[in-house]
Amino acid sequence: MNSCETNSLTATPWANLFEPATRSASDAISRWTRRRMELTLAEVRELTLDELGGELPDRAGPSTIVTVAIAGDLSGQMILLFDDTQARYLAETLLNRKHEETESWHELELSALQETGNVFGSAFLNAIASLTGQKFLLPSPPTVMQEFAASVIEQAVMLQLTESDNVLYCRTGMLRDGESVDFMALFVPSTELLEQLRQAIHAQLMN
Amino acid sequence: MQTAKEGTAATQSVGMGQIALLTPPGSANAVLGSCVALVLHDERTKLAAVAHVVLPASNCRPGTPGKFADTAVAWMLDELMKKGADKRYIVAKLVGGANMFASNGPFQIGQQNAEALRKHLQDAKVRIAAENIGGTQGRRITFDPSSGRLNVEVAGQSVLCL
Repeated sequence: MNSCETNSLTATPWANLFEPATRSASDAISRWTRRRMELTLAEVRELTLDELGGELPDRAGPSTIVTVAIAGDLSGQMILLFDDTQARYLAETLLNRKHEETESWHELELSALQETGNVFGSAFLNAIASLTGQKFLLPSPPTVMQEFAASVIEQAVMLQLTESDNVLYCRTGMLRDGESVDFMALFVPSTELLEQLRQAIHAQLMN
Repeated sequence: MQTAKEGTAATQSVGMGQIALLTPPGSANAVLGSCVALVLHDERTKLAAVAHVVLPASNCRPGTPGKFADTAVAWMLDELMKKGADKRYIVAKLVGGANMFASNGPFQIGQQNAEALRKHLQDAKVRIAAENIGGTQGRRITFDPSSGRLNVEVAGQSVLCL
């Protein structure tokens, strides 16, 4: 899905908040990879548990996943999901290496993916912090894992589900040199951060 | 909101908060992080139910019966017995409850889900035949009621059969 989906009165304000953050992350990732990488806000809306089930990636095997936790009281998770081929391509590009058919990951490749998570997370969170009047939102050191995508997303949305019956679902896609890439980034704020975001939207609407 | 999926379709996917009622040859699968899959299986009639439990207690919150440990156990037993299952032959299997981000707070919910399910199963006098709970990795499960076989896949590991 490449367009921004809307399903409620709050959909456009949500997009107004997350589109600048996505652009900021897009610029940072392009600089980091020295390629024309265009991140697009594919979807941002509040979902019920039933709706969330329909949105989870239906991949047969594990994905390569980079998670970036937001440190501090206003916590949350950013999740970068790649298929294995795309993750290897990215790591090889960053390390200026030729493609190698292998199932194992070298430490340097993992480090390149972690740094990608850091670049993405920092740019995205800086923009969100600026838009919501926060001093800063700090990304924690990223973690790389080979996991079932639905398992990781399920765990991340617990940040909201323990206190709410809906989940804010913010997903970005990626174009590399104009071609769609099998990649998605998800932003899952905690209930406390979500409340701050709601207040920022309310303030925007009042101005 | 959909309460339960039912039927003999080849394989039903059980999403968060859902329950699948199974009659052979139908089977069910689910992908789990901190959620816990509860399988109740009447070994004699081969009737079964699989729930994808999200939270330990409903505390009067709205939601499908499968979303919470307390409501899931009661609802599943009731439905299975309405269909002809005999409680004396029903056994339970529990899988999931991972803590994938290795931190405190809501990410510990997996253990709480498992503990709540154990308690409600004990109260209902249902024997737990097998468990695969905790750890830091997600799981994909497939349950076949005709054999009672519960396959558990963890990324990078061989399939475990419970």
